[in-house]
Amino acid sequence: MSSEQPAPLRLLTRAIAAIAARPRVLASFAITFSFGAMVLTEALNYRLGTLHRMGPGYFPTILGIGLIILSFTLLFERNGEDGERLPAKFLPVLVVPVAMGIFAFMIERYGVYPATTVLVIVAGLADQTFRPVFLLLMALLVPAAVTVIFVFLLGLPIKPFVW
Amino acid sequence: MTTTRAILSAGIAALFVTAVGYPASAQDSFPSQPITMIVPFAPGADTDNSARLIARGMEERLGQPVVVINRTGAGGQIGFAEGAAADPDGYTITVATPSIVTGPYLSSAVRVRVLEDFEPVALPAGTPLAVITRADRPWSTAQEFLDYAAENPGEILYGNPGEGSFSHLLPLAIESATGVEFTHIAYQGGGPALVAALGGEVDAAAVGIGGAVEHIREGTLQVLAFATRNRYPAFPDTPTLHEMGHDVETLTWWGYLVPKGTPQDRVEMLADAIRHAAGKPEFLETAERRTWLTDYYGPSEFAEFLVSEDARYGGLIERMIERGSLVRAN
Amino acid sequence: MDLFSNLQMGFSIALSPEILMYCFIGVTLGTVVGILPGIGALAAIAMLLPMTYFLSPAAAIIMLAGLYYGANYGSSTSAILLNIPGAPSSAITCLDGYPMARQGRAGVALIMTTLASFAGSSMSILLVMAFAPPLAQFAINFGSPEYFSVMLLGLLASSSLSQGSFFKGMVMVFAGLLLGMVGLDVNSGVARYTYGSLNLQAGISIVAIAMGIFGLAEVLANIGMRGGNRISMKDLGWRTYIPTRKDLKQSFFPIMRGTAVGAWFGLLPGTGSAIASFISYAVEKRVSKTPERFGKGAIEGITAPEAANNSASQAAFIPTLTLGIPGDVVMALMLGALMIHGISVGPRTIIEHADLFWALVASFWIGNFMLLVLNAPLIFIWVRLIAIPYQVLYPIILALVCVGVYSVNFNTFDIYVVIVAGIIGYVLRVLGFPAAPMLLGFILGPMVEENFRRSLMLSRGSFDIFVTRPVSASLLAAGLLFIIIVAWAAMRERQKLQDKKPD
Repeated sequence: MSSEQPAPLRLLTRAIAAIAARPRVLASFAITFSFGAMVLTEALNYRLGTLHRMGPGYFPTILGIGLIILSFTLLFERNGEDGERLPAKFLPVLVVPVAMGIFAFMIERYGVYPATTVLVIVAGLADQTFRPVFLLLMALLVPAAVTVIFVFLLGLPIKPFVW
Repeated sequence: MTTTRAILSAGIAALFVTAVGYPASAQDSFPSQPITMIVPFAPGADTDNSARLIARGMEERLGQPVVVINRTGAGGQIGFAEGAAADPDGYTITVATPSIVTGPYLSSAVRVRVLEDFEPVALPAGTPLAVITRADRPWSTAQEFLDYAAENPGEILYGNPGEGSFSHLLPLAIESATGVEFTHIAYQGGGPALVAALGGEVDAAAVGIGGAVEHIREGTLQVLAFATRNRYPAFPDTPTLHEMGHDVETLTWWGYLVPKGTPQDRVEMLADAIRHAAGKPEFLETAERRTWLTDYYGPSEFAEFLVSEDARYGGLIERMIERGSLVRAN
Repeated sequence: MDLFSNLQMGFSIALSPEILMYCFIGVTLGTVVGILPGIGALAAIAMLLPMTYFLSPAAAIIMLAGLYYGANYGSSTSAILLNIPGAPSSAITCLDGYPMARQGRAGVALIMTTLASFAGSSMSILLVMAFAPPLAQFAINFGSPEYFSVMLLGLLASSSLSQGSFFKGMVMVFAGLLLGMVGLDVNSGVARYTYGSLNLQAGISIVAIAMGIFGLAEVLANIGMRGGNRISMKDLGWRTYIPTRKDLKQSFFPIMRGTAVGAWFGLLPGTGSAIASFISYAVEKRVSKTPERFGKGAIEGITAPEAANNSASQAAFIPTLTLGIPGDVVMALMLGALMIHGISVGPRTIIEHADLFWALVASFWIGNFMLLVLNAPLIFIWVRLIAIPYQVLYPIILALVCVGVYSVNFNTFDIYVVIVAGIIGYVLRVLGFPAAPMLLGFILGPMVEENFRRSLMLSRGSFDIFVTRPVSASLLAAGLLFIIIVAWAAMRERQKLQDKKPD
């Protein structure tokens, strides 16, 4: 009997082992909890008011506390490991946002045509199976089509080129 | 080889001239390209309608397209900031409302200072704010309204299109000038505030006269007083708060600005084009129907006016913040 | 009959060749902006506005209106085919439309949504024709407490939007409520969660959130995926376009309910078609005998919301035309176009400008019919999109999303919002958080808070205001009933499970 751990400690180690075996649950908890904490911290800057005369801080405070409570319920969720089994590819998640960021940077400075060209080329790099010739073709056609649709057909006040 | 090089260098030289020598050479031929007019408010509102009419009239005078762009958000501040950051070459005009003056006093996130960042061009028109209340309430004149408010502090529910919005300043200015007290009820924009008055949820609504005029005709709402210096031509029998002895003037004006540092001759040319546009029958007809005021201010009058507006609203807002009636957003 | 003579007058104006042409231009442009993700009717109408100066008032309003309701037809197309909503109001259509497309039933899905759109619009037009003034009176008397109660009911319904983990759904509702709060607080003027940014003070654009969390997340998850999920051309024979008897039967009542939900929300200024489509989906899932089919390609999961958002956009004309109170920015723009022509819309418009009103109503019929005829053949082209390899498709999608979102406000900040929302959306998919409840929370959140706080200001702090007003009280009672039913159903479910397991 003396070699066995005391009951509370045993429970704790078992709980930790159970949680460690469910990475998605753990990640969900961590994200929800820290989001709730962030919301709550900021909400403290706003006047709370009373139940009958609420200030701007009232709802955010309630929601922040709610998120923190909810984050614990996620630990005991039966369907906690649900989610898409996505292959571990980080390239698209890195490259596509960068491509869009460059587009956002370029559209007002250089115009929609060059911005879209760069977007297509950079975003195309996310798919490693792309052949260069094909990508080049896309980089020629897509910006032209986009410019025609938005600038000429819909007549939006977007400049195709800025120089 | 030499020819290629000659062509190349000529090309580069040409590029250089267009890029650098442009402002100097264009001095006499302004405007030589389309002009952009930034309207920092949603299309369809009076601000936008009047700007589009002005833009059309300006095109005639200037011989170049004037392209209206609606750049909305943050009570107009997004558009103001963009207009202030444009090149001071006269090719970007910003349409401003009093929000450009009140903005910095109401929020520390607002960086644009109209007096420092802009060159006033012209102020062709505006629409006044008025005391508009339900017709079935125990008052039928402005004096009765103010008396009632004085006897029953906080009882009158005064709707407004958002806390700290320009229209909200009217009931606040009345409070400040007369010492009465309203309960301010904020809505998400002028439409909902008007609906609330029509449905009887509030007793009065701080909304533009344009949207309410049909309901005044219908008899659901009544207009008690205008917040202008002189009587309002479309409602000659309605008094002004000013003549009742209260220093309350809130006019939603539509002014045209260019970035600070724009050459003076271009400012004059644009002002002249705006004067032309504001004098055209189609503008005046719309103005009459929409009950706009059409007193044209040129660059120097507009500049003086801006200074007085800045003093007026700066003081009012500071007092209101001190009293706790307004908060300063950060 | 007065109605018929009025309608006859309306048709005589609306059927003139000139007006027909402008109606056609309107609905065609509407279809185009509807299909393109991000860009909505607003940008296109703003661009047509200068043109309307030169038209007769009837031609102007009919063209702009056509663009407005036409945009709702196409917006489900990219939701079904690509899992990318054309507009926030069709985000919910992704949930069952995309699974249908993956099952090779894209043709059926598109045909059924077109039919549902037409049915929803048509029934709603009947409302406009027959009951516009009394319905407008109803909208006026719908005050802050009532808004709060109906939005609360919507929030309760949102709990049934997701499948899988209940608590993850709740987390997403909360997150949506919080994101909706970013910006200036209407009731106090305080800037919340803006961290000193002027762009955030204006609030986060719902279009950017929807495009990011649905659209970009989908693209990120799909790039480089190979194999089974693409469909080849030979699977797209003409048979795959024809709805079965079962499809039609399963859609009939959902379309009716969707239309009713849509008309209700369309009437209330400031609510609109996105709320209508989300709520009608929640309603269908709740009343369905087989809720487990939802999210896996249930036909009523696409027909009800599409009927609802079209019905809402027709009903939205009621407060606009009878009170001169625009339900949204697009409606405000249409009123602006009429103002330019000297028509100030108000309570007497239907009488004083009877010809204009009835011509517009007549043009609704004509325009919706045009949309039906226009959209049906296009379906055969759109469906072929699925057969295009994704590596060709995704750069095009990205370009359209970027330009489309940019063109809503011409603000590059919105593109950055899409990027952040897309990355977050991708992470949430991996962790099994549903996206739809978040969007509903985002739409409803600010309204719930704003109307709750305003109600208490109106009542000077007394909660009685919510229960002493009959409409508000009955809405709250409905909410309570809803909770009881859900709890009861959950208890029975548990009972059943325990009965199965003898130990």
